[in-house]
Amino acid sequence: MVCLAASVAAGCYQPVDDGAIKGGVGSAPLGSAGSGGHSVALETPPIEIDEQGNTTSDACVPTRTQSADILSTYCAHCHGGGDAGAHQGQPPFDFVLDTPRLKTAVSATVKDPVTMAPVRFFLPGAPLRSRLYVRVASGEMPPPDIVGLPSHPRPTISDLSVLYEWIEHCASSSP
Amino acid sequence: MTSHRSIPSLSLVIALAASCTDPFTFDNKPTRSAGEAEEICAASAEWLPVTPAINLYKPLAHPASECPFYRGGWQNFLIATQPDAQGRPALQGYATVDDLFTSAAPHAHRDTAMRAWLGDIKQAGGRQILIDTSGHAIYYGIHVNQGYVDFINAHNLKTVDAVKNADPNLFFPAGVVEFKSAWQEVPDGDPSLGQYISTKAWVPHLRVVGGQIVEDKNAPRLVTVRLLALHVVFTLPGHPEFIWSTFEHSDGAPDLTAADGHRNVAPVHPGDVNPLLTDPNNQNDTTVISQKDHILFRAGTTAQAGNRAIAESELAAAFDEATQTFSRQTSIYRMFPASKSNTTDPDDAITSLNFNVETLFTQAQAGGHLDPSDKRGHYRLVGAVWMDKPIYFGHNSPIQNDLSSPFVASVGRAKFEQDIRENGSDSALSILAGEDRLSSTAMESFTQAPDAFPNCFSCHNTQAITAKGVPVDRDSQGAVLLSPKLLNISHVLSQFVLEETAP
Repeated sequence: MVCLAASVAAGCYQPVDDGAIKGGVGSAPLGSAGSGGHSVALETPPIEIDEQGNTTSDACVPTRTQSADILSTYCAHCHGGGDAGAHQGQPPFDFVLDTPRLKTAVSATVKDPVTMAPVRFFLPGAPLRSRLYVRVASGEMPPPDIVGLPSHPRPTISDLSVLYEWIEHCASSSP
Repeated sequence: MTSHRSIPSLSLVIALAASCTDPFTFDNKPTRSAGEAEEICAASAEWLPVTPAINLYKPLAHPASECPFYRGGWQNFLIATQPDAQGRPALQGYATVDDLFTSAAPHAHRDTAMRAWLGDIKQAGGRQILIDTSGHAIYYGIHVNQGYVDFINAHNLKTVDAVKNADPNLFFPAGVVEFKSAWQEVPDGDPSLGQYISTKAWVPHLRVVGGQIVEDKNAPRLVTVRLLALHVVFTLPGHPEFIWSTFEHSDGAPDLTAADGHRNVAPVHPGDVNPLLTDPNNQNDTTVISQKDHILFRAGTTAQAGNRAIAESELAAAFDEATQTFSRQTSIYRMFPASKSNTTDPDDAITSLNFNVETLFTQAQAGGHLDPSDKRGHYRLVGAVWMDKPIYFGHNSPIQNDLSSPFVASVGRAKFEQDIRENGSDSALSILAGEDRLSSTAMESFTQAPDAFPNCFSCHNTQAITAKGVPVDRDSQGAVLLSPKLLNISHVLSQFVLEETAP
């Protein structure tokens, strides 16, 4: 990790300073520590969340943060509840950034192909049965551009991959 | 990134920030170039003796550390090569093309006397055959983890028609891992096996038909093989293009980089130089690469004579079916010592991580925590390549820092080419990260040159794929196996279609 001196203290990984380890067991055939000018580091480094040096040990933390950013960028201007375009959808869908509410909401018009019950907006562990994900992944949402009106930016495949992981593995623990 | 990288010119950065089409906002925060210290990429003590699954998250892009990507490669390598009670690597139980799909012509279960496990001796790209210094062909295997199996099953991509008609926008989720392995046949009880991952494996019987080398997978031979190299290719959240990492065998420590001289599969140029721009194939370079035999290199071979394939018709004439050996041998060396286009200095994160994994094995061995059959410590990470800007992963896309890059339009061709030439994947204009000249000397032996297939994405992208296993724009006369789709990034599916449709 290339660290600014200040950021080392702020969260960049610091090597284990273990003289015994550095001395290594030189006669062992597999490795000899201390060569190449490297410092021994055998502790799992923290996950960097941002370039401000914030870290976590929970892999779902960056996934949740990144998912929230994606929804804010591509969905919240209509479905976030605080802007002029809120209360759109059927029923009114203005809570895209409210995960607990997403988990309980269901579609008024579309059935879950497995249960035949109204499809849930957000089904933890099942992105392909989550209305929110399916509509975005299929390109239905954001809606197609209309000539003369500002275009809707669209999430990338990479963004979809993050949303998929969030619903698949990180949603059950999401607040 | 290397600690010796040059910094893109300020004007270029400003031009990028000012471009209307540029998706990135100008960031005036200090970069990590000031006060650079040694880059440390830690191994994890919990990786041994039994390696746990990796944490799935999207790491930060440049200028943050590349360490999480390299760590993911190492950890997935350790998982796939974890020895079982009999000392066999875990990947011997992983699904193959045979297991994943439903063949129109059913065959016996693989890795039995009725069906080979390894094979596919012809390399991707040019279908060349690699012959070791004993005259044996190198055998390859394709293996996938349970995540890959689950994905294929969930989307019912089991048949040729299903694969061909797959949604072009379907992508691989995080947690999918595929492997390509390179194995060398050795005598039973070979003394070298104490330093190699090895196993007994069924390999195809080779024969000559019509001047070509043909593999009969349904009449295999049981032989002892040792692992020379392994591609470890995995997805992370936000990286459906896969992170393409590769490993190779080492003959001992300390081995943090190729320059340490312990990579015994193939040597690097003794001058520790990349090919010249004026001689990209080293055709005029008469330097003797090494006076020492390596597994895939004949002592005394010059740079200009190395990495040359032998025509299949010549190989057919040199083949002895009784011994399954050739009287000709190829001779391979690594053209780019650090697997980077702009430097021969390996990435600090790789050398640091190799060092830490070395230490980890040393400690485990000294502490008696390592099973004697565990040979994983005898391998090293060569490098990895992935998309630094995965927002550009899309349908029918070549994924290269070439004229197809979106940055050519925003900064102009001349500036783009100059910056990529000087800074490689550390350029702010690079859509790739990691080692942009990454090849395995055991798997892409003949296509390392810049004008061939110099990194994984040269072949693995989302364009249509031909029967040579390459994108259609690199093989315009070839029969198209699969139309453009995001899943084409993995060639497991195209390999199945190829096997099913081969005459």
